[in-house]
Amino acid sequence: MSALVARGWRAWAWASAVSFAAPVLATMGCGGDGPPPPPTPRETVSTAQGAVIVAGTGAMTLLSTRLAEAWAARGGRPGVVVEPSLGSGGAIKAVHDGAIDLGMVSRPLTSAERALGLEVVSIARSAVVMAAHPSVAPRSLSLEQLEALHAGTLTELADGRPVTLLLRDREESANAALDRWVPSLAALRARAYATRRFRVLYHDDAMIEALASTPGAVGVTDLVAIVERGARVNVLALGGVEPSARALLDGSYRAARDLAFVHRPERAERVRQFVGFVRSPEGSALIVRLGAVPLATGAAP
Amino acid sequence: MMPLGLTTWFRRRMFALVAAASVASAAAPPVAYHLQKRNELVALARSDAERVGAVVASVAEQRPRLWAYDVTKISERLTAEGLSRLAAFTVRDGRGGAVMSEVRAEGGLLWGRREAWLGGKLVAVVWVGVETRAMWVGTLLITLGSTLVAALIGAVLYLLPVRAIARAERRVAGLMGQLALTLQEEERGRIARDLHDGAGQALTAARLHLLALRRAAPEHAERLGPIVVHLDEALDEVRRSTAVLMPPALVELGLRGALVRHCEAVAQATGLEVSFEAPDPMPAVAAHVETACYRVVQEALTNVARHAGAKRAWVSVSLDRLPPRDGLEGEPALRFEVRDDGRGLASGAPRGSGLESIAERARLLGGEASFADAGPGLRVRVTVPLTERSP
Repeated sequence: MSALVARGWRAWAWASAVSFAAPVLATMGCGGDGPPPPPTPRETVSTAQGAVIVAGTGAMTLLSTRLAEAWAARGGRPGVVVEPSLGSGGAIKAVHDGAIDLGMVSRPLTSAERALGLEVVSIARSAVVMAAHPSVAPRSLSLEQLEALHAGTLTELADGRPVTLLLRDREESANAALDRWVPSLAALRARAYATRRFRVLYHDDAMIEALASTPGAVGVTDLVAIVERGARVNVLALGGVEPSARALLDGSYRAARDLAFVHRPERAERVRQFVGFVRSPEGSALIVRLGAVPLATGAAP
Repeated sequence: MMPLGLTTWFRRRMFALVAAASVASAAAPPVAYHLQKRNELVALARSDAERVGAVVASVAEQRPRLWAYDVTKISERLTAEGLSRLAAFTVRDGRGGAVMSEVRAEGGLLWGRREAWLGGKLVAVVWVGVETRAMWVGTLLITLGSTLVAALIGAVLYLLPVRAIARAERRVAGLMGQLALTLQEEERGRIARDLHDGAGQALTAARLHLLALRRAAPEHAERLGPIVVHLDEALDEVRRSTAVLMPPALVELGLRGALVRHCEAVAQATGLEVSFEAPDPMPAVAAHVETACYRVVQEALTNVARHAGAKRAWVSVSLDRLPPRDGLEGEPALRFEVRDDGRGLASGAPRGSGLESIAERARLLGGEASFADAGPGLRVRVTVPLTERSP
């Protein structure tokens, strides 16, 4: 009897194997459009004509737009066109491909990006700030409170009013700037993205609008964006440090982004005049008016 | 009994047929499920690729020169369209340059491809991958289930006819054996009658003529005497052969009487003390069954006399029942038992031809035979149904 049972099990195993192989064989090579092939390398455009095209991080778009307006007002040539935000990574790719003349970045270049051989020109340092709806009474956040906000454990402030965090998208360089000051924020934010605990905004404009219109809202944004728009939001001190120009320069306010232009070496002449204007006293004064701090010439971010 | 070989022949062919049908029927559901699921997944992938392509085209329409670098915008729009949880997707521009690519799944993927066009110009090509793990798990589960069902059905489709054929083959073989037994006994009877009526009568007549001649010619009595003796010997031989072929006692006395006479003859010839016990009257059975039972007891006593080295033998006939078969109650039967006080069967020794012929006769009659140690001696037990049945 046991021999019969053993034979039966073997027969069933063989039949199962054949039956499972049948659909595999029946569908081999059919169905589906196949995986994407390797990408085609883009042709790079080394020369350009007409206006200087500037695009990149949203953290620098407003600043560059005002500088371009000032450049145009004084009859600067060639003209400068500032495109809407592409992000720092998009700007570097676009500059490398020759699609734009000047890229705007608000973070250090990665080793792969440095290997592209682009030239980097530091322009300014801007503060990454935690801003809040006017209904939020406290004007400062301790670093512990900042962590608790991201962890979702701080839902009320000292006055008993509710508070909620608004997040920027994952790729936003303002996050990295905060993480350099409070390293634990990276993991807390990742968990918040995964659990979809907080609302996510994709642009400074959207963030500032949300902060201004949502009672109890607190979120990360750029000081230049707030100053330029005259937004009705409160800028909070972090860890007891106000985001002043002095604090930015001496490093006591550590959530900062260094803003820079990147360009191909062969376009240096094309962009030289505008970059020179930005780094001139007139340009520096405009940068200060917008809430950022001009940086020394030639230093890589 | 000559084997027909029908069961073996049928079993081989039936197994191949049932195995092929079972595998085919087991493979059909997983193949159908897999094909259908695969098509569904490809359609889903292409549909999602269509939607991603629409998003990309929308962004490209807003930023015709730089859309391929505005990954943030594309991500934002994909999230707004509920496409942020795709297992994998890849976007290439119209010339095949990389725009963005994300792979979140670790297992196998099925890809759908769609092109995004704007103003008659190819703007982008989108691939979306969907996970196939659930499809494979489903295929495996359906395979296991369908093979199990197919195996069960196949077992029933195979075993039922094979067993029916085997039963029929046994019945046919049994009937053939019974027929052979009947024909054999009838032939023996015919030969016995021919001997008795032909040679026997001729020899008797010749003897009578010789006796008359001796009386008429006494001067030749000395020469005729040996002829008469030879004739007497021949007549005795004819009578013995006739008795072996067709025991006259069976005809004259019936089975019970014939057995009693045979026991007395054996006792007288061998010096064995033979006891006999049987119901009176004995139940009636067919003539060839009577003959076969007589021969069983005859063979068993011959075996005792030649091989057992016994002093006593017991012969008994009783009413019994055969064991239940095919779900039916055991039939009424006659049990014949011959026991002795001799040396019995040697342990492990094969049965002799006499015991084998007893077993064969019992089987052909649809009965059973057993040979057991009687401590001391051997017990031979044969049980035959009162009504004819196949072995």
